[in-house]
This record gives sequence, structure tokens and C-alpha cells, in this order.
Amino acid sequence: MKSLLARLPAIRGPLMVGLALTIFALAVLLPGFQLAGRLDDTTAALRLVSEQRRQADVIAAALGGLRDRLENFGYVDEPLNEVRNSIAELDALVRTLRTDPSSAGRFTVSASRPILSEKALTTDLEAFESTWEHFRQGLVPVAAFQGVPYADSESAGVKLNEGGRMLSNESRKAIANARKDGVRMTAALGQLAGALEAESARLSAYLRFLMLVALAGTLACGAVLGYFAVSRRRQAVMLADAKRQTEGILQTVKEGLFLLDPQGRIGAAHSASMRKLFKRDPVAGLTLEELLRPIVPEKSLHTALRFVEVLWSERTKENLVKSINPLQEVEVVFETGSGGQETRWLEFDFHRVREDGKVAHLLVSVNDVTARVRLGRELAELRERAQSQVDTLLGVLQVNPEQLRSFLADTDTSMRMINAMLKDPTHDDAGLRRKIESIFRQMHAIKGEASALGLTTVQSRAHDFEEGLKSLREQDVIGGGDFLPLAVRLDDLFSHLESLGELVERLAQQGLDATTADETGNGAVARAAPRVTEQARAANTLIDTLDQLVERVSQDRGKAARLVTHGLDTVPEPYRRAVKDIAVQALRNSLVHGIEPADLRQIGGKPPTGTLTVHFKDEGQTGFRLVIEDDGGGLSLRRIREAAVERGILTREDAARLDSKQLLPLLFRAGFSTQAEADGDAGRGVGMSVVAEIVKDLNGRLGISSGEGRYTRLSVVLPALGTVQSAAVA
Amino acid sequence: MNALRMLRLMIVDDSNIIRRRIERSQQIDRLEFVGAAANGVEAISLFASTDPDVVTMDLTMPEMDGVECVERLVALKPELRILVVSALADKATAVEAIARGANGFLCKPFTDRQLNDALAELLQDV
Repeated sequence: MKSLLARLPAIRGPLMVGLALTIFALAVLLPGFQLAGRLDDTTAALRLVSEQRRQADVIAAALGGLRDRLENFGYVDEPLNEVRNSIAELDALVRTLRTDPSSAGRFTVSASRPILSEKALTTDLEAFESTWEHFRQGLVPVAAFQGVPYADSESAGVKLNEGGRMLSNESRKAIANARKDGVRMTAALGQLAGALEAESARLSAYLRFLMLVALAGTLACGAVLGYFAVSRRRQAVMLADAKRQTEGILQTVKEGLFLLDPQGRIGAAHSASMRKLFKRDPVAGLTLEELLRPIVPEKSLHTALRFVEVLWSERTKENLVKSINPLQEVEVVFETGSGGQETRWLEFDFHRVREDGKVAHLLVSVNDVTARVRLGRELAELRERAQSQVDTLLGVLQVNPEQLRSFLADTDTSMRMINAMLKDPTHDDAGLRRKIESIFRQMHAIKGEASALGLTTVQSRAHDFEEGLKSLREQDVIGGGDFLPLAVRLDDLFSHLESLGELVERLAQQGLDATTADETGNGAVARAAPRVTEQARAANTLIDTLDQLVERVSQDRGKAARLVTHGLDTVPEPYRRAVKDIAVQALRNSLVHGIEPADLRQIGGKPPTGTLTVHFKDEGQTGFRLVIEDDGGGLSLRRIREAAVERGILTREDAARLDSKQLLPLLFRAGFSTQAEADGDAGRGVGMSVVAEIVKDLNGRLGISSGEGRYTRLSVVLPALGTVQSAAVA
Repeated sequence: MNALRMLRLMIVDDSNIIRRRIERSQQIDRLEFVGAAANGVEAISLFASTDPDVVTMDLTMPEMDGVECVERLVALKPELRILVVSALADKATAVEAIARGANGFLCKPFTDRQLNDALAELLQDV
């Protein structure tokens, strides 16, 4: 009952009023009913008493009649019967007034209550009874007479017999009594009637009072009900107002808002934007699954439904599972009418709605976050692009502009060559494989110099290109079409180099070029000082490049090394590129394979810092000699043998038989490396083959010698300039 | 409401660093560390000997993964409170762990404050 009332606050007031009204009605009507009964009883008693008030006169007349008849020897039965009747009626009156009215067959509320229970009435009744009793005693002998009171004889004629005489005597006594007792009894009856009238009046007044109370009560209840009616009307108005407001909110709000019931269905009261967000109508009555199935992938849908299921469980802590909401940012795809698709991102949020402490609904809000997601992605992209530009810029800023220009010019030539090779319509397998090796060498040279200059963005692109070539090389059958992905990568590298070139130009315009950068304190830039000859400038650029290569690679490898150069300022212009390329590859090899880590060097009794020497010398008619030497561990014939066997170049037996003179030239073969894994600096087995290729192209000679544990020396002889056919081709 | 009852904490994670991190960083007065397990199998046996009230649970572990371990522990002790502590790489697995009876989720990496807030929320009505 209590919970019923709590659930229905709107009807609680009227219900209470109804209850009060019932109790009040019972409290008023039951006594009223009883009173009415008693009033009825009293009125009946009054009627009876009034009827019997003339009984004394009737008896007196009957007794008088009896006396007359006895004197005239008349028929006495008639007066006697009248006396008997009167006695019976008065006895009946006493009985009636004394006895329980219910015995008279009349319904009354209190069954055990005699008609006259009021004390005043009882006294009057007793007074009447005692007078009647007295009166009656005189009458009984008369009424008891039976038979004929006369004797009829021939001798004496008609005269009273003995009974007659007695009757005559008794009636005479009775007449005498009746004068006195009759008056008294009549008075007593009058008294009783008076009392009954008074009682009747009292009951009537009481009843009227009750009626007034009932009337007042009814009026009061009416007023209360009226009040409730008014307040309910006011509530109804407020409710309608609130409903209108809710409706207004649901119509206007941009979010999708709806309630899920425990069966997983969407309630009727949802925001109008739901139709727009999900492009369907009606939405109410659908399950979440039906709503999502057409627009999200099966796997996401399954996870989402499982998540919603979990939210109904009291075990789950609502605040501790928000982060795993799979619909936090979900991609939805709508079919558009024209057969196309539209992708949007929706953000779902779930809140438990409790009633009586239990989860009754889930309130779900849905936001279209497409713009936010797109913006976020654009920002991320921009950030990435900006970052890469910053990286490039930083890389460029560290590089001497002269070096950079020379690098870009050289690289451009190489790139064009690679491009030409890619376009070359070679179809046989051997031709394609040769093509791969040539491209490999070109790209490796670019990578080497980029690495030397610290241009990581170029280096990594060149590395990627090499990876592509490498996987191509490992294919059993190569087709012309397999080069297509390489063309795409080459294009990427092209445009990157172009933007690098633009950057350099812009920097030059901004006055950050070498000519004005002295004050920046940048050592690399400062070295390229103005007012020097073209020859000296080129030499400085070359030395800077090599210095930087040594510094960077030795740092990367955790080794200590210094570079000593001789005669690089005498390198004639046609050989500059070749000398640079050879030196870059050779120094890199020395740093990676030759120079040992400082601790190992010390164990071997060497200074911790390794020394790399590049020596260039004009030897007149003989040509030019370039010697590149390191004081590292030398070449390990054992490892060369192992690598040769591993790579299938030699059988194990051949490898064991060959001496150093025969083994060392293997180092100049394409794809030969003692390094297991390729990285940015070494291991692809290309470096030395690039050197060999360059030397071959220039009709030069190449030699390598090594003292195990002491040195490795690469010796190149380039022909005197008159004999060079095509110096530009490298 | 017995605010003074101590609750026993078991940490399940295959990373030694995370185990130590949770043990050191948690500052809930009522929590008393009773042991750490590196995978689901270890967790089940450690559960038998320490009877913990609260468990932090990694999801990707060798031997027996977190989802299965959650299910087994809940079957052994339904009133056990389990906080899944895992990276958010796979929401589906995390949701599955909750569906099998874990009570909440904390995303790795987390700050000390996030850890303590999550534990407090987890034990709010114990």
C-alpha cells in the first residue's frame, strides 16, 4: 500500500480524502441509524401508550355495565369480555414496553436493548406498572368469573346465584377501586407518554444535530476534493508545460538522445536529431543492434552490444569502463541513394538511469564528431608534414650550402641516369639483373653522400629504394613491370630532392648562405669562407663532406676516429666527383669494418682513436694516385672465405685453397659483404663494387692490401687527364 | 559497513615493472598487498593460498590470459573485485573481460592518481 501510494503521488490526496470520508460517514451514519431506530421505537411506544390511556375509562364503563346487568339479570359476558380485553391489552403494553423490541420481529441495531432503557422512562414505566398491578389485582377476580351468575327457579324466580353474588361483590369493589386506581393509572400513563414525547424530542434533536454534522462533514470533504481538483488541474498544466519543454528540447537538441530499456529497445521519447544522425525513421522501438547493424562493421557491432550488456550488470563500475566504450568514436558508413557511400564518425555515451536504486534505463547520447575527427586527422597530417619539413630544414641547416649544392647537382645527374636505366627496354633476365646492379650502385652512392652530409630524409628514402631493389634482386624471375614500384619511389625521391633544392634557394635568399653565415658560429659554414679560389673552395667542400662522414659514422658506431687528408686541393675538376665517391665508400667501409672499438684498440696496443688517411697525389705522366688507408684491424681472410662460401661464390675447398691475392678482389664484386644485416652505412656489399665500377669507368686501376691487425689500404690510380675519355660518367 | 576491514590485494601482470609499480603506488589505506602473479596459472594458485579480495589483472599474458583468468577467479569467489589494467589496443578483449565479471578497466600507461582513483571507485561500496 505504501509503495503504491509512493508510486502514485497524484492520487494520494484524493485517496486519503475518500478514506476520511468513509470513516466520517460510518462515524456519523451508524449512530444516526441507531438513533433513527430508537426514535422509531420511542414513537411506537408513545403510540401504544396513547392508545391505552383510555383503557381505565373502558374498564370503568365495563364494570358499570356489569353492575347494571347483574341488577337486571342481563347477559354479563359482554362487559366481562371487555374487562378481560382491557387487562390483556394493558398486560401486553407492559410486556411490550419491557421486552426486547427485536422479539417483536423488528430490526434494530442493538439487539439486546429494551425499548425503554432511559432511566427517566424506566421510572415512569415502573410507576405505571405498580398502579396497573394494583388496579389489576381488583379486576382479576371479576375477570376470572366463569359461568352464569343467575339461578332460575320456579319458586323464587330469577335471582343471583352464589357465583353471581360473589361477582356482584367483586365488581362493586372493583368499581370502587377503579375510581381511584383508574385515575392513578391514567395519570401514570400520561406521565409515561410525556416522558416518551420528551425522549422522542431529544432523539430528534440529536438526529438533527447528527444530520448537521454530516452536512458539515460533506461540505468539508467537498471543499477538500475541490482543492484537490484544482491542484490536480494545476499539476496537469505544469505537467503539460514540462512535457512541452521536454518536447522542445528533444526537437531542438543536436545530440541524439534516447533511452534503452532492459530489452534493448529505444524508447518513444528520443531527440528528433536521431532521424538525421541515423538517416532512418522511425527510430523508436528499434533495438540498438537494428539501429547499428546497417552502418557499422560486424566486429565493432558485436563489441558494442557486449559493452551495452555489461552496463546493465551491477558488477560493472560505470565510471571504470568509460574508457573501453567501443562506440566512443565509431566510423559509420551510410549508403547514399546514388549507390555511393558516406562515412561519418559518431560518438556514443552511455549513462545509467536508476529507479528505486535499480538500473531501469540506459540514457544514450550520440554526437556527430565527423568534423572533429577530420580536423584531428588533418592536424596530425600537418604536424607530420611540418615535422618532416623541420627535420629536413634542420638537416639542411647543418650542411654547408656549397656541399649541399654540389650534392644536389651530383645527385641530380645520378637520378637522371637511374631514370634512364629504368626506362631502358631490356627484357631478358640477365639484362634486367645487370640493370638492377647498376641502379643499386648509383643509389648507394647517393645514400652514402646523403649519410655523409647528415641528410637523413634523403638517406632514408634512398635506403627504402635499395630495399625495393633488394627484394627485386631476390626474385627468381624478374619482369619489366616489376620496376614500376621503383619508379614511384624514385619519383618521391626526385620531388624530395627538388624541395630540398628550393629550400636551399630560399635559405640563400634569406641570407643564410655561406657568404653571410660566418657570424652564426656554425663551424661547417664558417669553413667555407669567401674570397678563396674555386679550386680551394671545392677542396674545402670535399674535406668537409669527408669530415662529417667520419664524425657521424664513427659516432653511430661508437668508435673514435680522425681523418687526415693530403693533397685534396690538387684534385682536378674532372676527377672531383670520382674522388669524393671513392673516398666516401672507402672511408665508410673502414669505419664500419676496419677501425676497432677503442677498448679493443687499447688491448692491441694502439691509440684509442683510429686514424683514417686520404692521400691524393699528382704523379705526372703516371696519372693521379689516391690512397685511402686506416689503422684498423685489417681484412680478415677467414671472414672473406666464409662470406664467399655463404654467398655461393666459392666452394668451401676453393675458398680454403685461395690466398690473399686471389681472395681480396672478391671484395669488389657486387653484392659481396661480410655483414649479415644491411643498414644505412654498410652491409649490402655494394660500397666496394661502386668503387670498382667508378675506377673501371675512368680506365683506372685499383688495388687493396691489408696487414691483419694493423691496416687496410685501398690504392687507386687514375690516368693522366689527357687520356680520360668521359670524366663525367661515374 | 565495516570500514576497518582490511582488503587483500593480488596483482596479476607479466611485467615486473608494472607489478612493482602498482604495489608501490597504490595508497588505499584498506588495501594490503598479498602477492603478485605473472600469468593466469600463477594467479589461480596464488589465489588459493592468499584468498585476495581485490585483483588487478593484465589481459595479455603467457600461459593463461586475463579474460580466462577473470572468469575462473569470479567462479571461485563471486564477490571478488577485479580491475583490469591493460593497454587500450584491443577494446573488444577489454569488454570481454568485463563481461566475464571484471568490475572496471584502467588503461596503461596510468598515473599514480589514476590508479588510486580507479581503486577507490572499485572499492566504493565494499
